[in-house]
Amino acid sequence: MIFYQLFKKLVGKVITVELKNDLIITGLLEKVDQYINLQFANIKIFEPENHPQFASTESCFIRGKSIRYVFLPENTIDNELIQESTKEYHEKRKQN
Amino acid sequence: MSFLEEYINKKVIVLTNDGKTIVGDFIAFDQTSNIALSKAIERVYSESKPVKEIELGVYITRGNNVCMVGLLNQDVDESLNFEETRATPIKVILD
Repeated sequence: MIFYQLFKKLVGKVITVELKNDLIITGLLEKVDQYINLQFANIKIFEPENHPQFASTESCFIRGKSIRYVFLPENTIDNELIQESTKEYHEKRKQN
Repeated sequence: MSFLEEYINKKVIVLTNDGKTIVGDFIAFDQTSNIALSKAIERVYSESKPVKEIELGVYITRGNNVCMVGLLNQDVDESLNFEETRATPIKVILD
């Protein structure tokens, strides 16, 4: 839940993801779902000379399971807000 | 998963966990991202040879094998020169 909320806040921002097959993709985040599957617009592949397979791809859907890292620009997320949400989430879990 | 609705009936490229790139008309999908393509063509890239295109017809792949689905820009795609394109194979995703 927490990470889904976090990614919802990132919609409309430009982020970079590194996939488990070492592909690195930067793009404008359009949509997220509960599995952190992502939809991007205006993507750029890192080192496109090595990956001509995607020369004609401008937008894409990335399955959450294939993501290794997500890189965000500094100050994209409010750390305090996240920390508080995390505390609340775990307290609720303890209660249930 | 409502994302893929926008791609229906368009030409897409599917990147699978085993590093295959399949191009085709996107026909169907479901919540687990099982994918069906028609007029599917696998593009095999090599470091030493031109791109090889293998026609597959109707192609269905299980969602857990899908890594990425990209929407192709048909104009750009048609202008690509496969004779000269060389590439290192995309890695396999194991887990």
